[in-house]
Amino acid sequence: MAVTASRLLADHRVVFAGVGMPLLASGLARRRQAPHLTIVLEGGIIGTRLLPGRLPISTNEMRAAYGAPMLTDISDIFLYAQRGFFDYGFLGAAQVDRYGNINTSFIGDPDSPKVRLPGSGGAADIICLCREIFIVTSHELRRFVDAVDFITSPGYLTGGDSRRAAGLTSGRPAAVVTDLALLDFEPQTKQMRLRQVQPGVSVAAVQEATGFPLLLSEDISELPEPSATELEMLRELSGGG
Amino acid sequence: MLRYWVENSLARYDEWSHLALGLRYKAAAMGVPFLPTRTMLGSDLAERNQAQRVTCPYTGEELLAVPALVPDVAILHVHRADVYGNVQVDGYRHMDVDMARAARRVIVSAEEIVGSEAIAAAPGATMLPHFTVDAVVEAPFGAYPHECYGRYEADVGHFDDYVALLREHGPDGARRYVERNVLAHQDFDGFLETAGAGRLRELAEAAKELLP
Repeated sequence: MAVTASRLLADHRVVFAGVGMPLLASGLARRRQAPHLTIVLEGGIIGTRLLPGRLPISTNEMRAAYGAPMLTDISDIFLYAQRGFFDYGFLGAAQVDRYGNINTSFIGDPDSPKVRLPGSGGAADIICLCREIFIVTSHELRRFVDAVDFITSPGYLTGGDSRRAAGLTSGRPAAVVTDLALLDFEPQTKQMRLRQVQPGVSVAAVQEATGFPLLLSEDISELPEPSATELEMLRELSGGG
Repeated sequence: MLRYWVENSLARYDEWSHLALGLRYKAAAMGVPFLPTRTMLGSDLAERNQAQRVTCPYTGEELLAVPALVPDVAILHVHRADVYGNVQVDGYRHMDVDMARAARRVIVSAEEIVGSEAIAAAPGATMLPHFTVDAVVEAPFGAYPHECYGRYEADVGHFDDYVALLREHGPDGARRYVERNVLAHQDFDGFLETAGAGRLRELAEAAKELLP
């Protein structure tokens, strides 16, 4: 997933990354096709360079700030996003529906939840304010649901023009990256659409792990295997030698 | 702990996105009752918080209006302050400036209390002026077991211990952690002694390696 996500990032852009997979994907892109990619972290960090083997576990700690030309405050980071400076944003999902609406707040009834999840943090801000949003998550039936229990982070809402009508005029969910596939959203209806499958994964297997009918693009191909270089760079970043 | 309190309906839980919360402090810090934003529009977070929309009087655009949030007390840990409460921080500033300016009372704990001439030697680094601060406390390693930018890295073993205690004992695990690390000691120095000078030096060294 990290490799698939990293390939979506072009050079000379600005990416808003969280710790873990998004940061790995962004760090990999900087080492490979996007050396001028600016990585922003919500802890107030602009342009982190990452020290291999000492990756951060939170977005506001010195490891996350390594080599950054600017350190500011948390609200300031999101205000740069609102101003429209950030090209890419990454989000995870406990539940996601066909329109890319994401729940990371509650499982069950919000008034007496079965499970209280970690919540928005900066996720709702990222999906509202960054230009292109990539949703990255493992592909499971319990995550890809017909209807989310709660919209923490608004995707295309009810599809069509509803996102714009709600006042969200800038960003858009652009892709969904999973361990099974790469998906996007059909431009008119804004429904999730299968574009490419991970190596060795069938279209049927992707549909089976999805709780709603997927649109299928006309030319579904297989994603290229991670290259030796990509894997080597990932290992180096994580400090695995 | 949060899960335990919310899932058992023991506390009211309001959820705002980072920016929405940051702007709530900022509104209070600016002395205005709300600020307009584009974040959280269309989400159930906005619905659940009964956050109101406003129409821009110039463009007619619809925006979310987040209400000012005024903390009774803000407690900040900073790198240095003088006895008057002029405060300097190195590195990122979290939401500290807005939070302090929003709060009714502000307590600052500082790695070191320095002379006013040391503050005036780098006036651009001053984050808060003295009239926003009510009290200053000198507390070296005051952010431990968390980090203080440039001074020391976090002692993550403490976080692991806390999580392990919660796993084993549920909410009682948090009590045990507090008993062991807070109540068992006469003061903060007593707690720091459990880490040991050697460990604190290691964390300070680790922080230096991450500086430019």
